[in-house]
Amino acid sequence: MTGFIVRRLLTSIIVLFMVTLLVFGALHIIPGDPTTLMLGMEATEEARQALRHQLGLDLPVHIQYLTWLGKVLRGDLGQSLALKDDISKLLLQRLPTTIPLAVLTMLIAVVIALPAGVLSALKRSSKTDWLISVFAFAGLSFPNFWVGVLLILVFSLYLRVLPPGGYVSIMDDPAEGIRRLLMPAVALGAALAASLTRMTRSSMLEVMGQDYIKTARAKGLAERTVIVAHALRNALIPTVTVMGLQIGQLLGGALIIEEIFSLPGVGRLTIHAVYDRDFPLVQGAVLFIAMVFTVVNLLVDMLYVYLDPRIHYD
Amino acid sequence: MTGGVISVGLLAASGAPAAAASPAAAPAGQPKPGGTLRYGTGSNSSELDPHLTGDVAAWQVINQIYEQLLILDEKETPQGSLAEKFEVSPDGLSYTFNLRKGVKFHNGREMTSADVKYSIERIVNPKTAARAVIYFETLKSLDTPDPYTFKMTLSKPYAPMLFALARLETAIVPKEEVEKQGGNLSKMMVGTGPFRFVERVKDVHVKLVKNPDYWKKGLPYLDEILYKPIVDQDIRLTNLKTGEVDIIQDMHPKDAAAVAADKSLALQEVVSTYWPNMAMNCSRKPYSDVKVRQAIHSALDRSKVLQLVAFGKGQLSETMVPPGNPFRLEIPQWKQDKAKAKALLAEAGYPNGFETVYRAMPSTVPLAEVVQAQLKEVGITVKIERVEDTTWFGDVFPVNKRNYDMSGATHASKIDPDLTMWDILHSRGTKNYTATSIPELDKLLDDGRTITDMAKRKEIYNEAQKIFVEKSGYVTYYLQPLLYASRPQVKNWKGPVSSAEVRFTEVWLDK
Repeated sequence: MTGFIVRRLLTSIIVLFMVTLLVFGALHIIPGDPTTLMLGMEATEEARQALRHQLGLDLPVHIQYLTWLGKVLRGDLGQSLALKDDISKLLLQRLPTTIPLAVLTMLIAVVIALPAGVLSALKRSSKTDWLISVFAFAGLSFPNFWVGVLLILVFSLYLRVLPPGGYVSIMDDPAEGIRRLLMPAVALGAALAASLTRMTRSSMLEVMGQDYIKTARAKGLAERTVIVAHALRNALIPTVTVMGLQIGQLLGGALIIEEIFSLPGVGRLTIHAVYDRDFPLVQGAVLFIAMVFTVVNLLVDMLYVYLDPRIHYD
Repeated sequence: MTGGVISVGLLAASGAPAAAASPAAAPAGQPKPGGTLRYGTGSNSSELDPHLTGDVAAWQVINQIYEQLLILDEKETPQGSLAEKFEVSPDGLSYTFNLRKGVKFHNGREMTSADVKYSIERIVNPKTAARAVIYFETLKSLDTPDPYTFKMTLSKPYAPMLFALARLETAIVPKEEVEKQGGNLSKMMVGTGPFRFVERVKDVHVKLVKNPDYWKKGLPYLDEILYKPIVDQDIRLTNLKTGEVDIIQDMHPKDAAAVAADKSLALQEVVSTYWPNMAMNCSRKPYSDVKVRQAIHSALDRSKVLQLVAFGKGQLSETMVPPGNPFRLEIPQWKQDKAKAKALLAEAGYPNGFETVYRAMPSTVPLAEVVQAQLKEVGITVKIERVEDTTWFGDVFPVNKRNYDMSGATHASKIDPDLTMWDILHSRGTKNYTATSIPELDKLLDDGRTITDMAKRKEIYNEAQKIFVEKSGYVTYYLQPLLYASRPQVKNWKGPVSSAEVRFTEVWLDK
């Protein structure tokens, strides 16, 4: 197992390195630079040149990249050009929004999807199955930003029970903080729940047809034990992969939902940094998201071993 | 010694005793102090250093924190702000300012002439890369004979100087605070204004609190201001309706009718100084031929554009100088005449029209689409290429790039026509992205900058406006409406003609 982890970590580092190279290259190919935002439309070309020089943007591209890489390897992500704040600090500031949102979204999705998926599989081809499938298709078809806006319309404007976004930190006021995350989490969770439901359903169906299920029943085990301890446990394996990927994505921020609900998440930070051509911030944020994704995937793979004893890595 | 403006060709002298610009007309009821005002703005502010920033969202914040020597009153006349009295010599070369006594910076120290000198020196220092440096090109010397007197001498008269000194870009800053931050004021702002900076949390809010030591006694009324950046116009309006914010700006014209009818909201509609425009690159064919440009003018129906793009809100205008400005020339509208357009095109060598690409920033696409439809009728096929804002600023707008055929943007007019026109229309102008190069226009703009006689300047800029409308690389349509909506508890709030100029000094909340 240790060998596996070490190998995975090494490959991950190579992947992360390539990601940073790609992002850096892309940023420097597209036209525009941070001086536009920082100095505005009215600035003179001399002013822009002066600022470019000050920021080291007139150095050769490979020098800029290597300088940045050198700092990163020492743990320094640098400073945002626009905000003049430490990038690590900026990213950490976003976590109290993005993590609770990701967790809440996943929770909502799982609480809906697992029972729905199992029920669907057990009552296959019944009306229940059909109804659940229709909801799943709806969840997959409706774009999450549309669901988000619809929720605001209904719950904020008409019913006036929830605020239309805005951010309150969970650490300052947990109840209000979660209240503000409800609609965004539902908007994001709807599509996730839909795909997880379908996934769980087909997984269960496949597992339920296996021989060992017949054996378990033949042994006289209660149906409930058969379904949960034997069928579901194995059906979860592919589902867990998908959940892992989804959590990874959620931790990378949910850009449009963050914009609609005015949440200071990682997605918004990154995309605005791209618009601003805030090079170090984009690179730092993308590296961060890639790292999170890599770690989550590694953890998911390690979880397999627990879920399926037939799997081991060496 | 009288204060007020001494005629340097800008506006007639009024000889009124120098005083701060008096508060706006008395509000309904007595102003109640206290409360937090939440302002729904359109974007996060970026650079907060007043000498550097060009970002409208940033200006909205720092307008409450910093002040300048002068300020414009409701009639757009420069009045004393940090300067109690001011005088300009008849030859336009010497400016003397008597500073107000007892004005304190937010760090407690009193403002003196040394601060004014330091601020202007910082602006003209090329290392600062300040925006306002262009106003001080003819600066000869700065003197501080005593702590409350400040003198400035120029080598050549500069007609817009008093207006320049009322602009936020010439804010007075304290030396020690700038140096504490290593020469830059981006993170901690210390000014003399009615509000103090507390914090800025990106994507969440910018927070300001009342300055209890503000030199205008009794002001401001508000305890706190929170700027909330909400990018989407619909969401911004929703936030106003649900009470999450108290005022919003830049409401979409399509919502105007509904908000006007809504008793729980107040709507303010202002004809702004913003003019959406189309640019034709005069350094490229076919736009280098003035006949082609005039053909395009003749092909367009501007009232249709106003109807379709701005829902009829706004004021049709050929010139970019807004109504109310003494320099404005009422120029008859280009009449849509498709036959004339086709004839001009034929004369220019394009009897069957031509194809062209319109590089449009996302916010200008609706306008581009209307233009595309109208130009098709005279044989010009326009292909619209969406270009992201920053790319546009990097590739289309810089005068050393001008990588486009047709494009468009929204410019803002300034109070003085020199500030509006020189940079964008002079052949040596640093913002002349249409590559307009007309010798008679150059001469007019150069003269207008140095001649101080008001009557002569009016003549000069009238001519300039005519040439601008008939021959430059620009096509104008209308002056944009600015729509502000607020909750009725907000009192004494007047939406400014430029959203960068919002001021909350006299606003109060009726709770």
